[in-house]
Amino acid sequence: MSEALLSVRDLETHFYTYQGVVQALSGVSFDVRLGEAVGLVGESGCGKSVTALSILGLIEPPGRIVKGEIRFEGQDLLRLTDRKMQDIRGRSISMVFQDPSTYLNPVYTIGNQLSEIIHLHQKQSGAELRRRALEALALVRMPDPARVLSQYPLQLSGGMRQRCLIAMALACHPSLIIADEPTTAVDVTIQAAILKLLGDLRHEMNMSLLLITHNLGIVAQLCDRVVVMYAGDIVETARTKDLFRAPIHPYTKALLQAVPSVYHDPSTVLPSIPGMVPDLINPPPACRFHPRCSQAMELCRTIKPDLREVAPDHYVAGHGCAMRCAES
Amino acid sequence: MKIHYLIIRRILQTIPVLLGVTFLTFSVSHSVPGDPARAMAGIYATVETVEAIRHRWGLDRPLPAQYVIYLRGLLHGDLGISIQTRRPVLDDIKDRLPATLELTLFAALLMCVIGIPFGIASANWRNRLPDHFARLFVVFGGAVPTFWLALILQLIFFRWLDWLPAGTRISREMVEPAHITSLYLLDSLLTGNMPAFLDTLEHIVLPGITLALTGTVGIARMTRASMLDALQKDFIRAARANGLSRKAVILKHALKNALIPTVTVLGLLFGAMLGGTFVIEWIFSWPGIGTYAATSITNLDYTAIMGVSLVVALVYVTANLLVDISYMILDPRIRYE
Amino acid sequence: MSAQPDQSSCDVLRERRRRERQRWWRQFRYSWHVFTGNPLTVVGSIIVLALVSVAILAPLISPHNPVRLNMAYSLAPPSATHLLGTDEVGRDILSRIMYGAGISLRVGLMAVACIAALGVPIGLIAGFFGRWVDSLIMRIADVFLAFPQLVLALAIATALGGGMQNVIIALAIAGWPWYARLVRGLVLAVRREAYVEAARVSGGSWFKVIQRHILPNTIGPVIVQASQDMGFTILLAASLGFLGIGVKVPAPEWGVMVNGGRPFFMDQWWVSGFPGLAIMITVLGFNLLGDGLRDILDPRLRK
Repeated sequence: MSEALLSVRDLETHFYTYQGVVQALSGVSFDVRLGEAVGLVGESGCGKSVTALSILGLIEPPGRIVKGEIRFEGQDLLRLTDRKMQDIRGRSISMVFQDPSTYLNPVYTIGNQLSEIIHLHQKQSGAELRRRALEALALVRMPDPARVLSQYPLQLSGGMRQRCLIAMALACHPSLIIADEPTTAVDVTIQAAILKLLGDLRHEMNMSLLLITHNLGIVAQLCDRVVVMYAGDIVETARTKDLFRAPIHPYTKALLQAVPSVYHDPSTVLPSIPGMVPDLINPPPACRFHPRCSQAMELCRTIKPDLREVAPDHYVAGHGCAMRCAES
Repeated sequence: MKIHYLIIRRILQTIPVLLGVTFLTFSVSHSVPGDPARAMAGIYATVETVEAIRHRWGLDRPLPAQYVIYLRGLLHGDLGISIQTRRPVLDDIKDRLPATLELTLFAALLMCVIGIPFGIASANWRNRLPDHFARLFVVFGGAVPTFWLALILQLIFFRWLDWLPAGTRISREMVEPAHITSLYLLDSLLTGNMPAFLDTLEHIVLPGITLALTGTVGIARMTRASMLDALQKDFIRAARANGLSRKAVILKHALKNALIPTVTVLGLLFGAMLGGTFVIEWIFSWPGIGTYAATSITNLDYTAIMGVSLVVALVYVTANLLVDISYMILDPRIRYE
Repeated sequence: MSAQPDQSSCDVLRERRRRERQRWWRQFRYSWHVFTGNPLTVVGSIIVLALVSVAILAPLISPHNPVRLNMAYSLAPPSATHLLGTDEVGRDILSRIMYGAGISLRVGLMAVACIAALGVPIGLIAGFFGRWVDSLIMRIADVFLAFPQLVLALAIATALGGGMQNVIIALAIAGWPWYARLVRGLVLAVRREAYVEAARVSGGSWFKVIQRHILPNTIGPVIVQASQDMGFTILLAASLGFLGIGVKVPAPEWGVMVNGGRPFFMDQWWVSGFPGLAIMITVLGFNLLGDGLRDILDPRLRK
């Protein structure tokens, strides 16, 4: 088993708002191993983006990381000063954001924004800097990279802008890339291209990838392992094949059932999960899923379930399903 | 659209405005009560003299014809004769305009140098001490009457502390610097005339600060608002995720975006300061068109007032034109639409 | 058969009106909460209320006659009898300031009213009829805006001959383009939504369209703009007074008073000092009040 590149343990992030304390993450733990692609899935609002931002130390007031440990290359990122984190951001851990039209600065050229990162971390300048910038654009298969360098974001198409964002993330050859819904804001044809690009790049550059998405299809395509989140908790972690073939947690099962497929009979009702996403200011006591869980027990209301290994490299946080697994 | 085309189009747009401006000043000068021919002739003139003058100046022609005469005169630089000085108004203005321009440009410089950092600091340390201080400044600065402030500053710095002179542009004993640009500060620097430079600086500080106040308040407010706006944008978070320090993110990524709306306001504030010179120059005995206008009001020199208003409008329109052009150059979105 | 439907529809209407009244109350209470929650706004309101009271009660509370000359007390410094001192002809400055409050308030109010009365309809016309009417009106507005406001007001007021009324007219002529532009923008924005609907449904009375859709959306921002302009207008009027345009001499207009004290300002600073201070406090009060009004009216409108 390869070593963990990134190791998140008991991460708790809270947001202090006028309406109350939003407990966005309540003890998130997972690993990303060397050279591995991990998919972080869950519905909107479950805390996926907050997890990514917490890893990079970009949680701004009124948010705060209250507890936890994030080990990366032998250091606990949460103990580092902002200055030291700046060295890591963009160089060892990079992030590719969701919307290429708003995550690029409209008043600077692509070349300016790309070179800025390379210069910041690798102290290059002049001709060498330009060469590296072109190299980064070539990596993302950008047509006519020299021209793109002198263009402004508004002159490029959505797909090209997304490639620029990826190029900016790759420019310093990071060990880990966090991609936050990289295909949500682009249309379907571009999605396929971006996904293929990400997959190819991962192997070419031997990077680890943390892919955040609500789209299980992408996960199936790209990721080695999957981490399922619900309302700020991790409910299940497994290898992609295992998860899709034999999901254990009721939430994961319901998610997989709710994915529409070409093979389904169109006359059947698409199953959905009963109940509503919990209010994170006053979440349900102990297990946050138990009000909607088909296998809920009395225990679920008093003791929060930990992630427990119920099969080889397959972890689940749920009393009912874990017990049922143990019995079988 | 190519930027050259946009710039030329913008320049051409000023022509109808300038035409309208001449029409407006013409209309206003014609609402002056009383008989202009009589005013020009003087109290003791005979009826024949008044009629002769009326005919000579075309005041017996119908209004549209008078407007054409007026326009033609303008194109030849004829703004009429001042009643106070008995000289052509254009000459009076030519003599005094450089002083006003120097003062206004100095104030504009102060406005940017003080106002923009205020706005940035205010946005960066929002709701903390620098912000409260800046907002207090804006609130009081926007309420204080500049003519009163001018007097108070004179009282404190001239009368009580004797640190700075109370008026005029340069001490009487000093020789005026060589007339290269007619802006004493620049001229004395260009000729290496340090004593004259320092002396001029002493004289320009108080009126400059008073005049700059309105503009500084406006720029600080605008910069703060546009910085706060820019700091909310997604690409700021992206820049931070790429490893940039907070300072670099604010000063590079946010600032350029924030300066664009701020620049649009610069022209407006410049105009407000031009208006302010009418009051401030008078108090500081600054030999510019502002004092000329103020004394013209007291002397009921209507020709001079109209002439000055026209010239001020011209300067204002030019300033706005320059601001718009620089805005077009700054914002790539306009260039590549 | 015919009585039943009328009865129920009456009930429905009554219920709807009751609920609307409740909503109105709730919004009012919320606005009041926001308004009084901001200390600066409260200060502004107090200043303005004090000002209005002083203006109205001046004849009752003023310690001396504001226009009576008394050369014996010429240029007396602040003392027990003359709290703010006297001017060069012995008039009590405090009393003159009190009477001056009424002048400034009156000029400010009437000027803003005239500016709005002129600018709002022009803006409505420009926005509503669009096309060449709009372009023409905006070009004309540009011409007026090519002058700094003080300069234009000054030129017009002087040309008309000075005096309170002419100052108000001059301020109106110099200020209308701002309101016209504001209203025009609002109308254009609303037109895009409501116009199509109105044209389709009511089949055309444009008067009704203005009344039902455009005006309600316009009143809020105009009031906000007007309240914020009060301070500036008073300042402008005082500047004109300082330059010698405006009220006739014995009247205690604050700007005129500041100018009057200029010759002896260095030694007898109170003659110009206190009226100027009065101007500043007044403008401050209106500015704070205006900002507070904007806080309650604007975010609500955005909903």
